[in-house]
Amino acid sequence: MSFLIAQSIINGVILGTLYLMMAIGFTLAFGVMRIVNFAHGEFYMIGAFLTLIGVKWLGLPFPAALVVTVVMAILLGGLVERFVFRPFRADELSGMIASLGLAMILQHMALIIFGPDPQSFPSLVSGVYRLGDLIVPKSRALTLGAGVVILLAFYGFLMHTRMGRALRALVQDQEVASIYGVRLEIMYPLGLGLGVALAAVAGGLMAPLFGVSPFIGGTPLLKAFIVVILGGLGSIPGAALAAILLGLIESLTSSFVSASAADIVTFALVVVVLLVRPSGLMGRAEA
Amino acid sequence: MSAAVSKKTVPTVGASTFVYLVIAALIASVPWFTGNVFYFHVGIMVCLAAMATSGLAVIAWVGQLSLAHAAFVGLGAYTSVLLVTRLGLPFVVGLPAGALVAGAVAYLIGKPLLRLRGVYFVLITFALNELFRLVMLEFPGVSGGSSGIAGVPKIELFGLVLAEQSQVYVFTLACLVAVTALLYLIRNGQLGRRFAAVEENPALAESSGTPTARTQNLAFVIGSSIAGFTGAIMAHYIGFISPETFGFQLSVSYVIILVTGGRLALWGPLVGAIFLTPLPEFLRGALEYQHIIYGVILIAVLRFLPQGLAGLSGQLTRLKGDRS
Amino acid sequence: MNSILNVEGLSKRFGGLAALSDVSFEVERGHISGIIGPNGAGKTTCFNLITGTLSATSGKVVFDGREITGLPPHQVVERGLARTFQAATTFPKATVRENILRGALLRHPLGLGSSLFGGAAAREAEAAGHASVEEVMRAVGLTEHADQIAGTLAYGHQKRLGVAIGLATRPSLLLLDEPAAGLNPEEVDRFGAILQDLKRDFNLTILIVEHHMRLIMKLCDHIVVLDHGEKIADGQPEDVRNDQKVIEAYLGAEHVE
Ligand SMILES: Nc1ncnc2c1ncn2[C@@H]1O[C@H](COP(=O)(O)OP(=O)(O)O)[C@@H](O)[C@H]1O
Ligand SMILES: [Mg+2]
Repeated sequence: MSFLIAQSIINGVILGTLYLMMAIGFTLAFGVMRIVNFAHGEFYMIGAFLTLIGVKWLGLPFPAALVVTVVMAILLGGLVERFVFRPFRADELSGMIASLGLAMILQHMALIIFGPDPQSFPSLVSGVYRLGDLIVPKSRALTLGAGVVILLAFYGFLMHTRMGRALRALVQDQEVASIYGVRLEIMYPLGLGLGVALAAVAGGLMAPLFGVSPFIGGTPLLKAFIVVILGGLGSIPGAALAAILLGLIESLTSSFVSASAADIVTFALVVVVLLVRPSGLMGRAEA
Repeated sequence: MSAAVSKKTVPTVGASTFVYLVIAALIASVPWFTGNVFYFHVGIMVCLAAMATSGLAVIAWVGQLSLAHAAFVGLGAYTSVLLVTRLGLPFVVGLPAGALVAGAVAYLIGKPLLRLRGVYFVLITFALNELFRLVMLEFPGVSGGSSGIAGVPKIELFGLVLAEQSQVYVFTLACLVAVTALLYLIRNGQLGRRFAAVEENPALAESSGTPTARTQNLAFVIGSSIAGFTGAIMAHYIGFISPETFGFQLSVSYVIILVTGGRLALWGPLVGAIFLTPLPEFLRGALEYQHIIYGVILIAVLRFLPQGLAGLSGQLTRLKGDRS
Repeated sequence: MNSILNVEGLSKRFGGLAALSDVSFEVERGHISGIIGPNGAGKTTCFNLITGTLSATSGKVVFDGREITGLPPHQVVERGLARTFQAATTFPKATVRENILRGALLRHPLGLGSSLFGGAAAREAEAAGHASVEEVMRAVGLTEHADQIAGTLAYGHQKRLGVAIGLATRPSLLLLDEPAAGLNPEEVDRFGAILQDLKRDFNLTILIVEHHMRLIMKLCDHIVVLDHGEKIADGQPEDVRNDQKVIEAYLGAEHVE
């Protein structure tokens, strides 16, 4: 029993890491640009395909493929900000509707290019790590390790670089930030680009585990959505806590109850939180 | 003085309305010109989309965008299908029951829900639509689970089974006319004034005597009832429903139709549905292109025609006016 | 003393901030009374509490002899207490006439329903409603802008339209939140004259928040001064003008700026 719990906790932490990588970009887009980006999951899908192309077609080593993915995703995100979202800066609702259109475009372009069938990803490592009774497949451990490293790198960027500080200032207060010389025409595309790159690299990391197809963006979007609502729209620390929590809840309930029960419980939780505390479980209460 | 006033403020059926009606009648009779069953099918789909989107429009008139609209269409569909197949009740009972159940659910959840505004309302309705789908899947005894309910009986009106597409088309067209008339009455009556007031400035509306919470809830109930009404017809026409039928994608497609047609225009849902619904029916072989086209149209309309296609004539006359 | 409004010990906290603390005052029927105070003093909050836009942390509001504490704004206005807003004063997408019509809805049925299904009596009632709208429009001097979209009006006209919407609800007490902000001195004087006419023609009591001291001193029979959420003075214009605390509050505020 305790073995099963421990195993679930490890799986939950892996899930939570993935969810957090998805959620940060989603919440950053809202915090910085006030965009609710329904196309966020499609960047996960694109990241998975880019990594697949790098490894399978170009023969790049996996880490190099990931780096290429990140660079391409930042560029793509910047372009999307410039040409899709920028006209709707003053209008949250229209920006969000535009993201619905963007999601359709991206998903179906992938469908035209790659076809609907799932593609397998060459497995990188095989075998398992054993910790007493616990079993962790090496591929999962690798994903977890890489995810944690990337998240820590991003955290360092946010806390200790000028640009990171500027982004955080924007999340705090747009007006004050722009008074202090934060340049929106650079920070907006950068903010979206970085968020999107995190989603893309999550897609690349998960590709060896879950396979790749044009439809894989839906679930990560839902998870990011849940995490971000629970953590408070626009709050990164909130997202971190909520992501790990969600990963653990899902992993434990699906081990002991059922996966669909977990989904229903989390969505019901989302509804309740939105009703009672729209600022999120840990957010500042809105007046 | 007051004569001039009443001319301005009491809506009269003016020349432009007449022109619109003629155009609408012409478009509506296209299937008969071709005589082709396929065109009747397309016509039915346009009517159903326009009706459901009309419901969404009423909610948009008080300033709220719902991503749970498909769930209310689904509530109406399941209500009618279950009453007809399980209890053997006729369709003419199932249809109003579908509207009623959808409206009742909207009434129950509307009050807490509508305290949220803007993107927060969109987000919670998004979650609710997903919750609806998940819960329905969890109860296959009711919903048929992921394999759904097939073989839903055809629409039957007091013993007359609408077996032909052309018959169904006449019926849905009549329903659409009724729904549009309802929208027209709401729009130009006191209620429409109240809706517009709440949409434009809720605090001021409340302070000048409009109970904003109740008014928004009423719009939500009316809009959702129309959705349920449409769902019942849809289920009995298509003959198959499943929880997946009423998922996020359907809600999004209603939003696209509404935005493309015009979020606040009376004719928005109709124009949007006529413009967008036939597309997939004619692009059967290349559905992925259809979605790309939808996406591009949506973003382009948001950007360049924020009042939608129905607002186009207004924008053109304004352009002309500016130039002369 | 014949007071139309009694505010008793009104307080409002936003988290740790006491926006209004234990404020009491009365407004006499038929008077023009003023509330003044530096920015952030709690004037708008006071209006929000009186009209039910916000619920008070504690205290009591009595209007026309009946307690209205806790009533929602649409019921408060129904009893004859209307207010204007400091910002977002209009329905921006509608014409000036339509804006005023929406205020007039409270007392008059206006719209398709009555003209379509009602009989002669309904039509007459509707005509009376429209006449009332015209009267309000004329009184605030917006007739020539009747068909202009509110959002495209000049700032001062938007403020005046806000007053007109309130007036159309036919109040006995009208609360005005900085209605003359952004006007030049000449316009301020004209606005003052309009207010006095309105008070007479519509049989109004007025409670006004304003920063234009000259206007306030000229118009008001009685002034309440707020600072940091507390009432620091209350009396006739001359008394308030010479009050030491009031002078300090204003000087202090200027020092900060
Ligand atoms: N809804 C609110 N939430 C939080 N604080 C508020 C809110 N409304 C007003 N305040 C605060 O209350 C104080 C008084 O504000 P206000 O009544 O608007 O002042 P005034 O109208 O006198 O300029 C200010 O410090 C303001 O920041
Ligand atoms: Mg104020």
